Order: sequence, then C-alpha cells, then structure tokens
Amino acid sequence: MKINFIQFLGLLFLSTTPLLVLGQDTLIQAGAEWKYYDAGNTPSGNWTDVNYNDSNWANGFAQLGYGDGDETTTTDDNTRTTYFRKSFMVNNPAQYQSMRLKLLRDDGAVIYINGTEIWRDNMPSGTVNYSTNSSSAVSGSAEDAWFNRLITNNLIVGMNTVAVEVHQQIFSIFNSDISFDFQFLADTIKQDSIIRGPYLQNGTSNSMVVRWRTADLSASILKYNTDINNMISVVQDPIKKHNHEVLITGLQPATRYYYEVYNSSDTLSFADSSKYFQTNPIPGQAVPTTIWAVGDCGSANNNQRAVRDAYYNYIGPNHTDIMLFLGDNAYQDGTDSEYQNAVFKNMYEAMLSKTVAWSTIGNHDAHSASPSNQSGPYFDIFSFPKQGEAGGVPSGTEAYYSFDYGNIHFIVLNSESLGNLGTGSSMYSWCQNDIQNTNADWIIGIWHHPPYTKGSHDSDFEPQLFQMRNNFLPMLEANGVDLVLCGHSHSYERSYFLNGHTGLAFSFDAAQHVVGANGDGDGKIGSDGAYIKETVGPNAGKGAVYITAGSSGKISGGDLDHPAMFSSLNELGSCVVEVQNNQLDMKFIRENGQIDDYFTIIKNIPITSVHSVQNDNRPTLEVHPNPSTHIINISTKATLKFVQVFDNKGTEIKFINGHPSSINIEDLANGLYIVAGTTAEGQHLFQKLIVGE
Amino acid sequence: MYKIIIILLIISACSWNAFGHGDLERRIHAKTKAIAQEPKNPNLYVERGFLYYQHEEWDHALADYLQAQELGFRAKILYYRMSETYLELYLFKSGLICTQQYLAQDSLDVKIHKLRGELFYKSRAYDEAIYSFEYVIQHSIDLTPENYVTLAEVYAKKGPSQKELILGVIERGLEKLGANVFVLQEQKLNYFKTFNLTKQALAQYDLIINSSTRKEGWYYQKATYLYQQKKFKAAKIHAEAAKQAFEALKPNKQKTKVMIQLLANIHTLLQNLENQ
Repeated sequence: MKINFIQFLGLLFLSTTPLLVLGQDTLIQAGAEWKYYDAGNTPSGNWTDVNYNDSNWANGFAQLGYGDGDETTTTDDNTRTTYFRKSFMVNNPAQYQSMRLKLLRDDGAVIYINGTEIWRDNMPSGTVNYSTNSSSAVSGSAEDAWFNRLITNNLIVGMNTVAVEVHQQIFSIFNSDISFDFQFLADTIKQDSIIRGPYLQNGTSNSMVVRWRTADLSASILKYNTDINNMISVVQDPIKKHNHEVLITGLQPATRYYYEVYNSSDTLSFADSSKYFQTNPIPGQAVPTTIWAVGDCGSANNNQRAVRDAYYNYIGPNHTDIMLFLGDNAYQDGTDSEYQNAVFKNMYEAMLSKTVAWSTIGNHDAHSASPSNQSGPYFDIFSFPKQGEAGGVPSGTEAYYSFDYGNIHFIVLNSESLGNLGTGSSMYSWCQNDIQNTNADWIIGIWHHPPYTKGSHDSDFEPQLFQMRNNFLPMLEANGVDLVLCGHSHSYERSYFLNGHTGLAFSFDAAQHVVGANGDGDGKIGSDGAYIKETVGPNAGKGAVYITAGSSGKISGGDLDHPAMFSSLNELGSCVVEVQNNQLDMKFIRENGQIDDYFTIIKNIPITSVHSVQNDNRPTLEVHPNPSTHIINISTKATLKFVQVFDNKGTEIKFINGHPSSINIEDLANGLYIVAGTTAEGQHLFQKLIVGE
Repeated sequence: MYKIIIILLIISACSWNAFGHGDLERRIHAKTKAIAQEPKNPNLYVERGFLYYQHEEWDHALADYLQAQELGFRAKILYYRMSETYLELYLFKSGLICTQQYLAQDSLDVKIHKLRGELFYKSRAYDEAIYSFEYVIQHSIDLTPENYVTLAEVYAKKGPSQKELILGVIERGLEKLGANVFVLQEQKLNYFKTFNLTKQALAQYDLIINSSTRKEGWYYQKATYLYQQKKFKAAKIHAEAAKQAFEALKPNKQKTKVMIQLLANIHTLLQNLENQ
C-alpha cells in the first residue's frame, strides 16, 4: 500500500464518514428512467402488479411532470393523476436489512412495491382513484423537497416493481403542476464494514485481483468457485488492514467464478448471480469482446449516472468484458474522497464488482497523484500490471502498461507527464518495443490527452496533445494501431480513418491523411461502408480511428470543428467497442440511450490463432519491398525453377530462370503486377506487386 | 510564399498558447475574480500561480508566488512551486535556493530531493545531482524505471570512468522493479555497447530475444551489431533468424510500415553479408 495508516485515517474521516453507517445499494436512483401513463384516466388492469404489461406506457427520465419548467420529461398537462412504474432486478433480497424511499412529489403520491401499498404521502386515506385529490396543495420550495420513509424489506428474487400514482390537489389554473422523482436505497446486512468495492483489477486468463476497503481493520478472506452454491476455494491474508487486495491464481481461462468476501467472523459481501469475475480468454484467441469506455466521467452527478444507465440499458444482462477509464475519473483533484463519490459510491460499483477496470491517468487525477513516483490516490486505488503479467512487455510502472484480452492488445500511456512524451523517453522506448512484440489482431491505444480535438481543449495548442500527436502517433501508426481512445475535451469527437496527420488542424488534407476508398466516409456498413484495414497494397497496415470521448460526466462545448473528425458532438455519452473476429464496431451511446454515432473497422484478413499460423508450412512467395520502384527481393521457403512477372492484363513482362534473390524492376511502369514463381515440382506461387511510390 | 504563410500561421498559433486550455482558463479567470475581492489573501495567489504553472505561463506563475511570499505565505508548498517554476524558466540557482527553504521545513520529502536532482542536473552539478537522485531511490516507496535511467544518465555525464557505477544503477533498478523491465534491460544493452563490452552486449541481446514474444526485430538488431563487430558468420545466422521470425508473423503484422522496412533492412544486411 502506498499510503500510511495516518493518511488513511485522515482520508477515511474526510471521505467516507456518511458511509460508516452501513453498506448501501441504490436500487433506483434520482433521475432514473420511468414508464408513465398520462392518458387522463386510471390505467386498466392491476397496474401496480409486477407482471403488469406496461409496454404501451411512455418512457422518460425523472424529474417527470409538468408546469414548473424544471422537468426532464414533460407529461401531459391535462391530467389530474399521473401513473409511474419502474422495474428492477434483485438477485439476493436477503442481503438487505432496511430500505429507504425518497420521494419528490407535487402534490401527493401513493407508492406500491410489487403490488402492495407501501407509503401514502399527502393523500387522504381510503380508496383512491384517478379523481382523488391530494390532501393539500404544494407550492414554492416544497415542490422540490425530498421526503424520506424507512420501509421493511418486501423485495423478491428476480424482477421487482415500484409503482407510483401522483395526484393533484385541485385541477385548476391555480395549481397546474405535477412533479415526480424517486430514490430507492437499500442498506445491506453485514456489509457495514465494506466501504468500497469489491472491485476487480488486473485480470488475466488465469488470475484476478479483487480489492475492497473496510471501515474496520480486518483480515482479507475471499472465497470463490464456479458453483455459486459451493464456495470451496479460499484466498486469505490474516494481516488486518483497511485496504484489501487479494491475488487469485491458478484459474481456468474464460471462466466465470462467483465470490464472497469475508473478515475473520462475518460475510461482508455475499455471493449472488451478479457478483462474479470472469477470467480472460486464452491469449490470442479471437472471442467476441465488449469494451465500455468512459472519459472524464468523474463529475459524481446525475449526468454521469445517466450516461452509466444508458450503457446499462444497452448492455442489459450481457457481460461487459472490459471497462476503460480514460482519465479525469474524479473531479476536481482526483482525491480519494472524490473517487469514492465519482466511481465507487452510487456510481459504477455494480459494474466494477464483475468487470475488470483499467485506467489511464488524467490531468485532474494528477492533481493529487504523481506518475513519477506513483504516489497519490490514483495509484493507490488501481492495480495495473508492471511485470507484463497481463500480456505485453513489462513496463516497471503503473503509469503506463499494456494488457491483452483475447486477440486485442491494449496499450495504456501516460500523456500527463510532459517531460516523458519525447521520442527519447522511457515510455516511448517501452511502447515501441511493446507494440512490436504483440501478435494480437487488434491494437487499441488509450491515453488522456487527445491528438485531435477542438472541444474544450485544443490539440493545436496544448503541449501534451501536440507531443502525443507528433511523437507517438507516427510510431503507433507505423506499427498498425487500429483505434485510439482519449478524453480531456468534454465532448465526443470521432475521426475519419486516418494515417500520417501530425500537423495542426488546418493542415489536415483528406487526400493525404485518409486511408482507403471510403476512409473519408462515415464508416457505417450500409452507408459509406466500413473502414477497411488492408494487408496488401499501398494501404497495407494503415488506418486508425481516433476518438475523444470525454463527455461521460459533463459537456463543455468548444468549436468542435476539427477537420479530421467525422463526428463532433457536444453531448453526454460513453463508447462501447465490440470486437468479433476481424470486425470492430464502435457506438457512442448518449445519456438518453440514443446512439448518435457508430462505425465499423474490418480487417481484410482471416483471423486465425497464433497456433494455426505457426503450423502453416505451405510455401509462400514474398516480395519486398512492396510497393517498390527499383529492386524487389524474392523470398520463399520453396526452391524456384523460374520466376515470371505479369502485368495486370496477364502479359508476361519478365522471365528469370532459376531462383533469383532479387529482380530489377526499374523498367516497369507504375501499376499492379503479378510475380509468379514455379517450383521444380511444378507448384505455382503468386504474389501481387505494386510498382510505384 | 506559401511556406512563409504557414510559418506565420504556426507562430501565430503558438502565440495563442495561453488560450488553449479551456478548463484552466476558466479556473484562472475565477481565481482572478476571487483575488480582486480579496487582494491580500496569499492563498489565492498560490492557487492561481499553480493554475498558471499548469497553463505553462511560467512568468505569471512566478509573479503570483512572489506576491504570496510578499504577503507572508511561508509554507513549504510555496517553495516547491517556486522551485519547479524556476526549473522551467532555466533559473536553476534561484530554484535551488527555494529548495533549501523547503528543506529547512522538511528535509525528508523525496519530492523535493527529486526536484533538487533535476535542478543540479540541469546546472551540470553532477555530484550534487547524484546525491539527490540517490536519496530519492533510497527513500521512495514506489520507484519507476525513470528513476534509475536518470541516475545512470547523470553518472554517464561524468564520463566512461563511471562504468561500474552506471551498470550498478541499472542492476539495482532491475532488482527493485523486476528482472524483465524492458527499459532497464535496453539501457543495460546500450551501456554495454557504449563501453565496448561486446561479450556482455551479445549476452544481453540473447536475454532480450529470449524474453520477447516476437523476435524478428531483436534478431535483426543483434545481427547488425555482429556485422559491425565483423562477426559475419554469426551475423548471417541472426539475420536469417530475423527473416524466419518475420516469415512466421501473421500477414497483417508483416505489412505494417515498420515491418516492411525491417524486411528490407534484413535483405540489405543479408546482401552485405553475401559480399563479405
């Protein structure tokens, strides 16, 4: 651990005092999306029941209502009573000891959980119907007041439903508004001493790191197994501590394990169907992979939660393989207490308990953390691979590192330390060797300061952005990087399919810097077509998409007119990257669930495992360099009897007897040719040759 | 004419540096308003000075720090901030004076020793820089490869007589951070070559090759080094190994710009070796 005990106590006091009461889950958050019925009558059927079919009801985010002007979703203003429903999954209701409802209502409301009335507020007793008035009118600041109610646990395993009817006091021009918002908080039994996590780090195909924080000093005990009802495997550390970190080894690849966290006497975190970790696939194996990337997310507010929920709605019950933090994860200064609110508390805890999160350091994280000596909250909170244990070349530092997931290689750079962004820096040297050491089919780069942006930051002027573009991009592109994800500007900006643009924005020239016939298109299948990464011809190995995705917590505008960008949006959202075999799909998911941009990259190669490549002994004919204008070198494992060169009409241009090691092609006009070698056994080997620059 | 316009545009763009950091710009503006309301509050000057520092407006940063000092601010953080600003302004002596004022309040903090090391290094006071960087290495909980690379660099500035000390620093780094940390292994190789320790350099090449998943680049580099050492037979073996490793790559890996160039280089080397 990188903070001492006194520092920890200070942090604990400052950051987590409210949490010391009990562990807490947010089942419904303020600002959540609800179904609502505002047709001016009572919904037919048992509308409070969990099984009620509300598919015809409208959707909208809270605050819902009309008449105040502060609503996120405006409902029909001719209704006296409006009805709301929200369903949510609970895997283990027994873990909840007490529950608190928080209600914002104007004027009165009746709340039901799974068909049973739980709370009636500012409403008369007796049967209520559409025409029932609330007990009194609400006005002024009371319209924005939250009312609390502790309730007993009546949740069930599986889907649960909260149903609410909000009534007017009188329906007249003197009281012509309705407001509704709601929170459902559940205190967890025996989780009172866990105040952070558990969360997953540093996952590989055979190991996993699980971390959590307890309010009390306690031993670290973690039980796990593939069978949720039989937690027979145990990792433990008897040394009592607050910040717990256990490394589990000897795991099977691509396997889901459930886990529970204990101290020496109690279960702190029960196993349930949503608390698991999943090991990586075998390195190099192409498997469908889902990656969720959030940039500059750390505002700790409902904007951030709306972006989160939009992704949760998108992914549904499916597993997210990787979560990426693109830096500035906790505003304003990346302190431990800010991380608690922006990452761990009522924010990403559900995702972090089952998906391994990786991060790059942002400038705000660096206000309280130092990459040069790896101190501060950012480095205390995360565990990243320093020894190449997750794939890649050992960096010796958590400030920059790499990891593999299946057939994807991720390179995470520290763009914050300005003095280390030169081509002579240790990070550059490591990165160059790392990218030339991977056999992965896909390479994704991640750092905070984007090479191209005209958002709340400007890549023409800020030194980190400038240096990453000038120093690192040429090297990464020359080694085949496919996608780069950054943050920093609080907007979404997505480039065309680029190569070689290292100048200022005005110098962007699509004719020079865009790759392929449709590289200047939208990248959408069915429209301009996917971006194609070729393996032959003049565009072989070229082309990458650069994304600035720093709007997962707030938006800050800017000119948003960088010419290298296909899409520039001042909208909240996050990115989902889905990779399957030789296809990569990216979607930008707005906070309202809308997909405002997407594109596809297709690699023009069959994706095969490393193993099968190594066992392919069929002879091939290789021509180097290609394209060329002078001398080409011929290489093949076979012994050639003669070599021919044909033009694109099939006319023989050259004939060389024997097995030449090189051929002079200075006399050939620019164009496409075929080099054909014939072995003594009569086997024909072909290779395309492009004559030209 | 076109080039002149481009240059003028670039110069013009550079002059707008102060307006490129949206968030910082807003925070500086807010702090300036706060200072207008409380002009005698030194904390505000320290805070704005750091914002200027992050904005790379070193002169403005220093002016604010000096104003804070004028208003009686004496906390050690101010002296740290002033030192790092003097470093950026190439005013190394002034920076070192500030570090002494910091050390008078806290002599143990590794951060200030690291900053002193950088100031001494830039001042070409290598012995003092070594003392400071050694202090950092001995007293830090978490170290990075850069700590060792920089210290070795300072020793190297004193000349080849420091060979044992330089290699000792790299070894210490490998012991502390892990035997396979690439940057340190690469540094070790480079120093072996610099000091003409051919046998050790070749062994170091083998160590890196054996620890690499892909070997084509390192086989080629070793072959080139052997060629330079006029060990042509061994050079050919390694150039062939580089070629074979290249041929075993997936097609998409073979077709990157760097790999296309590597293959051309391998062929050139093989041709040169044929001529020996």
